[in-house]
Amino acid sequence: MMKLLEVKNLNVFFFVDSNKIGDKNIPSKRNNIKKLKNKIPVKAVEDVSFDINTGEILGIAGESGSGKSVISHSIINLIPSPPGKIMGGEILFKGVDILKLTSEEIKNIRGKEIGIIFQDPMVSLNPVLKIKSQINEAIMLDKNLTKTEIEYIAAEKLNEAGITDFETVLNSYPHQLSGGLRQRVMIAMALSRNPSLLIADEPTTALDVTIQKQILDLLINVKENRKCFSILLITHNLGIIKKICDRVLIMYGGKIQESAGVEELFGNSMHPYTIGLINCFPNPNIISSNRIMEIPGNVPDAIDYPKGCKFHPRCNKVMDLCKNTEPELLEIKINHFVRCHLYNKNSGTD
Amino acid sequence: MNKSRFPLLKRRWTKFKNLKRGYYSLLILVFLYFISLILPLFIGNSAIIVKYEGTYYFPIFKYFNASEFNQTSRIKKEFGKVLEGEANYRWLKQQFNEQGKGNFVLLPLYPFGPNENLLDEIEGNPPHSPSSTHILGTDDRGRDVFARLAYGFNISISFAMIVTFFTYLVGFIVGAFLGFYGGKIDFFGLRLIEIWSTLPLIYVLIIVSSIIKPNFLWLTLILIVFGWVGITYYIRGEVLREKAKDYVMAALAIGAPDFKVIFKHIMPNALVPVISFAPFAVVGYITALVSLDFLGFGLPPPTPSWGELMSQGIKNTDYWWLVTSPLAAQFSTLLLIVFIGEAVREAFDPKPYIRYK
Amino acid sequence: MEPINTNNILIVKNLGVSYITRKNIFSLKGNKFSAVQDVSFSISKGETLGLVGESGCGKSTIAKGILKLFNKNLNEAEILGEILLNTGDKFVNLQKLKNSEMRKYRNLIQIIFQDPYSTLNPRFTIGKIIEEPLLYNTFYDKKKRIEKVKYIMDSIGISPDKINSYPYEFSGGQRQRISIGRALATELKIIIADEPLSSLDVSIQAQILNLLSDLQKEFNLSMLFISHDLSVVKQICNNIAVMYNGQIVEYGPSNEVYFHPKKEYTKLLISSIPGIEENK
Repeated sequence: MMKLLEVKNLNVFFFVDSNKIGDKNIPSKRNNIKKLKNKIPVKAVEDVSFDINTGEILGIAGESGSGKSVISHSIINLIPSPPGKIMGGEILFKGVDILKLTSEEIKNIRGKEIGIIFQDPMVSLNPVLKIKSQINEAIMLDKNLTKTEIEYIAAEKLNEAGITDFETVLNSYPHQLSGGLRQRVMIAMALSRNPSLLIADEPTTALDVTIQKQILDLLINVKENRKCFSILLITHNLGIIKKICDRVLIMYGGKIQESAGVEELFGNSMHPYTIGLINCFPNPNIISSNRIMEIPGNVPDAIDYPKGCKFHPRCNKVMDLCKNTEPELLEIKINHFVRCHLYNKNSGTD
Repeated sequence: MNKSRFPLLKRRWTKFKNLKRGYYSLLILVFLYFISLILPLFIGNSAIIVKYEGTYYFPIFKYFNASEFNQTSRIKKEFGKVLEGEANYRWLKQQFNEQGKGNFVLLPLYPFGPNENLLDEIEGNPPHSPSSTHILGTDDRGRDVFARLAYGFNISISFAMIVTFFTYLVGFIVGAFLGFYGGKIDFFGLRLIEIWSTLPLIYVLIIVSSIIKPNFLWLTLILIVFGWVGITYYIRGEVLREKAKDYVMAALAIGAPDFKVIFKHIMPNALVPVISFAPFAVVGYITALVSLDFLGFGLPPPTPSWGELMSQGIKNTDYWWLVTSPLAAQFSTLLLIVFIGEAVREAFDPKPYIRYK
Repeated sequence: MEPINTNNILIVKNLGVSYITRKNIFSLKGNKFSAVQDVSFSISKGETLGLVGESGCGKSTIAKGILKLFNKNLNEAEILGEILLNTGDKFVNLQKLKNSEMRKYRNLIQIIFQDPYSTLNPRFTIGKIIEEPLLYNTFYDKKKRIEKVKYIMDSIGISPDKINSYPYEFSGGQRQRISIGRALATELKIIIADEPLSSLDVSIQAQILNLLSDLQKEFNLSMLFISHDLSVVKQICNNIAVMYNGQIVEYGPSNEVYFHPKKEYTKLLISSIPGIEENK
């Protein structure tokens, strides 16, 4: 299997001013670019490396503030700058480092080689244009086509996305369609230029659970029907990851905490955060007491990360070592990486 | 732990202070306004202290006859004759200096008053061009222009601030009422407001001025009565927006009565975006007052006002200082307020600016 | 009058909520859109009823209908049926009450909302937020109110030292705790939770769920738990009512409904959940 995307040591920082109000650092974003040196770097994504192979669905799971969306935005270079900045690392797409491309060259990749769909299709679609104009706009970017050819391709794409009544849909405005239909339209548009990689950033979070199932089935179908096609799925819902992903990365505090194949991760989870996260999803098949095992504490604010392991204040297996030294991401079993002192044979145990 | 009672306000204030242009404009303006409140100490024709034969007099507080000080006239023709009417303190100072009896007069820095007729003291016909004693010359009635400008400053700003405050007050009450209750009240209320706002201000002023002689009070009243409509729409919009938020529903759910929900919960949040309009409203009302005075429908003479000076100057452009000085004064004042307004708007703006590559 | 079981805190009979949209306030005819039709259920002391459904099924409308929390706009809401609340010595039909009369009983039935960020007024300290219901519903003096606020803060897991802090200093999960604290301030009997977990991170959801469970036991509360997440509802609720298109399509004890669903829609909902464990 060829490596479609290789991310190496990606670091994305956001530079913010801090205003000390009370006893907490509250970041406030200001537009004063000149005073860069007075700003604090917030490490949204730190030292992240992973690969996506052709024909694979990779999932990135994490809660808010874990950095997962920032990764997807960096790949297509949509980090708002200021205040964000990609500080280092490489993102090799088919062998080419896209971080080093000019804005012109990126336009050939973004949309064409890499498609992306976001969480809320209502916001991604232009509310004053019919679907027809929006999807045609995407198709026309590639070659000079006649009107009939464009219409044919549009219908074909909508069909692939599971929309049978494409005449009506094409002539509608976004607000006239249901949430599920809108997301299908988004998928159709993202696939209209035949990309090799589709980035789906929380694609079903805003949808009802029955529609969610349909969209997930659609994504699997699309992947099966296309050659050399991969999906990067970003979500906080481990259930979705289990359903459709091949491999998964668990993000916390801007770093990868655990990565493995899906079966391995759910069957043999190692990192205390992963175990805690899995336990947070109530399992309806068990007739249990009313309490779920919870992870105490709060998701940390990126400007106030704890020293040492970022998860240690909430960890039920915390050791003294964890409070001072951040563990490395190590391959503990084949293709199963964990960032935790519990499994690091080299670090001294307490 | 330094916890401010209004942390959001404090954050905005810090942001405002960082916007140097607006901040310094505010400092300058506040300083000037403060001085204008105690202006007679600096500019005026009443002496601050007079010591005459062992007693201290304070003419800025009390009217004294010239005979009180045995003042004699210093006009060439009537030299030595006993002066009638109010004491002329500049002459008194010279007189005391000549007499050398140990009496003294402490005059303000710029010893000319805004309503004081100086024809007796200056040669030639009014208006007089700027000279070393009268920095901006005199107007067509022989009154010192600089003094009139300075007193006009206080009147302009006070007028504008009072009108702005009350229009916002009325506008808020009406806007909040309409926005909160909605339905038929909103519908009819809006229609009434629309009708009211079509009344042309100028015509009304002309009509009113012909019936009653307008003074400061009447003018503020009229402008409030016609000006509150503008802000009502914005406040109604803000109230509608806040009303849809959960915390308002939560307040109702815990049993708060309607008026508490409006004034305790909605008002502080609804007012915030509207605060950024306030400086520009002040700018508008200063200009309105100047325009009214210019047309003659404003403050009655002999109130010192910029508009009135300008109207004198327009009549004969040889007397260029009569137009340029009030214009310059108005321009600088409005510029300062606009800087403040822009800084307020930026300080209150919740969104940072973001650029995508 | 049929005998009413005094063990019930809330009895809803044939509840219907319709929105009437008129073209303008003068037109006599309006379009009636029926959001909720003929819904009946009852909640007894200490019981939790889960109301499950997808968006648009009317579950939030039921909450607003019971509490009469509709915005007074051009669109009116018409509420039909009976909403019987057990006030301790009698049952009051909330449906018949006007807004001003309703205020008397609001302290018995409280609500927590979905979005923790807009549910707290950003200008009030959290102490004042939790204290406010006491101002309207009790005659406690200042000292007793502060005491009560601190007790509640303890129960919800926020340190009482932070009584003068502002909402922006807290995370989403903590704000949700504060809004729960506000609901607890009065001597309430039943709490309505309208999608309380949907805006929270996964690890925090578990905390809040456990908190609600604990508080229910500590304060002896009944709860109406509204959610679109069937697995969460099954975890915390004794009984489940499944809603579709404004009506209750299935109603029964949680385990019954989940393991032996009778209606097609319920089966569809259950099969759509992407579970961590393999579904049967």
